[in-house]
Amino acid sequence: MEILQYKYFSFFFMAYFVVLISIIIWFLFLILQEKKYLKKYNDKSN
Amino acid sequence: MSSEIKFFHQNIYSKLFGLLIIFSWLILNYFVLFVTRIDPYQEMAQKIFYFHVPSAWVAGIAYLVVMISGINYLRTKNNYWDYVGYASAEIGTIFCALVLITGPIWATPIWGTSWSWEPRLTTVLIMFLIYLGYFSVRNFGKSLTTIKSISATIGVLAFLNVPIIYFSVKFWAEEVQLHPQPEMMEQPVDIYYTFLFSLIVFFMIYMYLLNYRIHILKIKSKLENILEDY
Repeated sequence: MEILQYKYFSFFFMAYFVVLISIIIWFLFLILQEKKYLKKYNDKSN
Repeated sequence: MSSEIKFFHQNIYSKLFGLLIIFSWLILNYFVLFVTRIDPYQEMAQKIFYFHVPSAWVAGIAYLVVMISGINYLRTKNNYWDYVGYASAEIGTIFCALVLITGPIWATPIWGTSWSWEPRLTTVLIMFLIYLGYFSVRNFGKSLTTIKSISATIGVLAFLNVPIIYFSVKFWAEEVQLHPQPEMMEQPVDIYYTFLFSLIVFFMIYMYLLNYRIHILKIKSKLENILEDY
């Protein structure tokens, strides 16, 4: 891969993964929150 | 008996929108890595720009939405606007944190230091701290309606900092400026269109997370109402 030969690739890689992983973590947090509240809500409302 | 609420992803449009975002993200990666040119001086560090700047724009848009929802909440006292404001403030703060992390990652090899107390960086940091205050207020005290009104007011006032961030490169003297000020219209086509596309992708991520969070806040509120009735 040619891009691996360029200078500062590690800095780009770090910044890219910080952005990607933060978005994924927030998304997983939302899934867990939804699951928690929806389960409680459906239990109580029935 | 209350009606059953469905999961966010049981809605076909939410699912399709999620898939569209994943597909767009992959295309963006391809453009950033293989289509845009390599800067002769900054080399790969320059490509951080395609993730750093859209994060800053999304944070600004998110805080604009916080301000608009704050005004609407104070005017109507409709809880929907409180959900929108709260959800948007959360996402804005995540993206503001990403700006504050990716900026120093870029600055370390280019400036030789990860941080400088120059106007743009300092005003973004102030914005981030203001919103940490916003979340402290939301988790403080007992009267929920008062908290919603106070946080809506903070959301409206905090937005005043966004134009200061944007124009900080013009407000302060050139001697104290360190932040790059590229004219996007003068950039080559590959850089310009990839940048525009990255703005669109980040905006779609924002819209998706915002809708998802609002959906959860509505469920939470309905659950609290049920628990109060018990």
